[in-house]
Amino acid sequence: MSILKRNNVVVKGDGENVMMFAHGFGCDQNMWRFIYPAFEADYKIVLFDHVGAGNSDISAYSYKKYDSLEGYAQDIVEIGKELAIKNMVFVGHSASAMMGLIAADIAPEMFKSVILVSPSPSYINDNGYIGGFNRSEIDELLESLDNNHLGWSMAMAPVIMGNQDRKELGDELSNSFCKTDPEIAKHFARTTFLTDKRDILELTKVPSLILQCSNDVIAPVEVGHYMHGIMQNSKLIVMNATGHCPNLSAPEETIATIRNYLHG
Amino acid sequence: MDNNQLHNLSPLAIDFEDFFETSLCGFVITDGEGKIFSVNNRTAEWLNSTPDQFQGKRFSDLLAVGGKIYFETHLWPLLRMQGYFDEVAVELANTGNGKIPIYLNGYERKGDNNQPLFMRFTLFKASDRRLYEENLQIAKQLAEAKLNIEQKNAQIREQFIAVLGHDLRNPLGGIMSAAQILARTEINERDERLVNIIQSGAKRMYEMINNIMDLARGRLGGGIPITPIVVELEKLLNQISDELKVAWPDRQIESNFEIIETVECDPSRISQLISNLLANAITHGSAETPILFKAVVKENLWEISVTNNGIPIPKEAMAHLFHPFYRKDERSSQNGLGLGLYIASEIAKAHNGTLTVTSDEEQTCFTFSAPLQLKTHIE
Repeated sequence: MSILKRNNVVVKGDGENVMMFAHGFGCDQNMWRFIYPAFEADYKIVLFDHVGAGNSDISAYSYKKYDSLEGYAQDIVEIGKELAIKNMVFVGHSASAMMGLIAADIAPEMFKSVILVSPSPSYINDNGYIGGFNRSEIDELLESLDNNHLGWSMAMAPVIMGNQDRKELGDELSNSFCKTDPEIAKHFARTTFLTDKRDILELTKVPSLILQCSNDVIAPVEVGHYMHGIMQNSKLIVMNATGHCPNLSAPEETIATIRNYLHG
Repeated sequence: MDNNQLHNLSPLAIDFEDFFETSLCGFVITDGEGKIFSVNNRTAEWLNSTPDQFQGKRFSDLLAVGGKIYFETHLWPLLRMQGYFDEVAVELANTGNGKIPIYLNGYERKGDNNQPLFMRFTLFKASDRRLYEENLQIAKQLAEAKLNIEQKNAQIREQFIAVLGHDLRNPLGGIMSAAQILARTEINERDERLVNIIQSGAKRMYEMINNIMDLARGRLGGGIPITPIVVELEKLLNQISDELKVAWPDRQIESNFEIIETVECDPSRISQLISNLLANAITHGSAETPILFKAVVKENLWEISVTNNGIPIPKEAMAHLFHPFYRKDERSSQNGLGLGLYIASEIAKAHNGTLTVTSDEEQTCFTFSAPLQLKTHIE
């Protein structure tokens, strides 16, 4: 299985400079559908699905490898090597923002700058650090995933339908843009929400733009200030956009902010 | 809205207002980014609050933390990408009434410029439903655990059978050699009869043990192992029918072989299969008519069939015919252990072939069919 197939890599346009988009916990490369077209004229666009998400090769999923963000970061570097990428602009949402920082540490020549959309190095409040959640709340999330309360219908629909020749019915029910194997989703959630990567921030050298939303319950604005305070060469923009996914809720503002940064 | 205000509204408006506020499901309307415009009374009641308390909050604030994170990372993106989501199980935040399980549906209303105008959510209380689902899940887990235990037990039993069969062979070997030595010595007529009984009994026992060992191989491992070589089929088939003719001199076997080619097979296993079919035809078929023993090569297949007349195999028996330990009459031990046809079909399988049966008033026919070229995966 080639790396490009494994991660369902999609390359668009043939600009000289590369802009890679990495989705976070939740959906797949569709997350960028409102954003990347704005950069297609100037950049070669690289989109992909993390293993376990979207149309990636689920059989390549390893509970050992993807037990840490490093496993995912390794994939990003492998995709970069496969496509001979140098000096790219990396745009990572949510958990992928931290994966981008790790990847930039492994292969600095691949990265010109990183754009971190709603990033968080650690989701759990700790001794003055505001991550947004108490440990017990994260445990509650993981527990509800364990009990299969969440997404019960998503996981069960294809089984209940069990109708191979009318697959579209199953797709319809299972909310196809966010289809994930429930076991993998559980594991990804665990990897994402239990990770504390605060220690890598001060080592980060790659120029970065931190895009934080106002009123994001997943990554509160304090997290952006915290990161900006520690990371060299970083710039922080707190957007008017609310929620955790400005790429979907406020594409224009997101595009304009990224553009300003790249041209600035 | 109090009753006085209600009196001043037209009946239709009253009805609609009432419908929105007190329907048995919750309604929530947010702006395109998920900020709450409006929450109906029913939702507020479930959350132990009043509708105005939710103005300006995010929809996900209504949910318990699991659902809150799930909403922001999965459901809200789905609304923007797909325009809707259906029947997602989440829980309301615990604000005094416990975490009420709900089913959530949402859709996005877009304006002319394709921008989201607002989003609507419908909440269905699902406590009983959730209990039912949990019970289903528990039942599924229990059934899986039970099946697991059963499978382990079955495996232990089969291993036991294999070991038992193997260990019985040694003392039986002793009995057989001793009987053979006795048979060669000069003994009186009475003792000779007794030695004969020992020998034929031991031989039957030996065959049964072999069958049991084959069963264990078939069930435990990857089927019955075969050692294929190139065989002149016609010669082999004649040998088999000759042997049976010696054993049953008063029965007729009509052979009809259209074999030109040699085939690749395990000759001793194929002999075992065929003589089992012929012996069955002799024991169960009509004694008045001959048994038809046919072999043909069709394109890439070789086919051997054994046909007899007589009472048809009952319909209800057909389904179990190739199962191990299946016997027509469970009380009778006359037919051995009931492993013959099971082993025959396992031998067919080992040759990438099939063993099939048809049976009606006119005749009963067992057909073995296998490809001429054995696939390479057979060792």
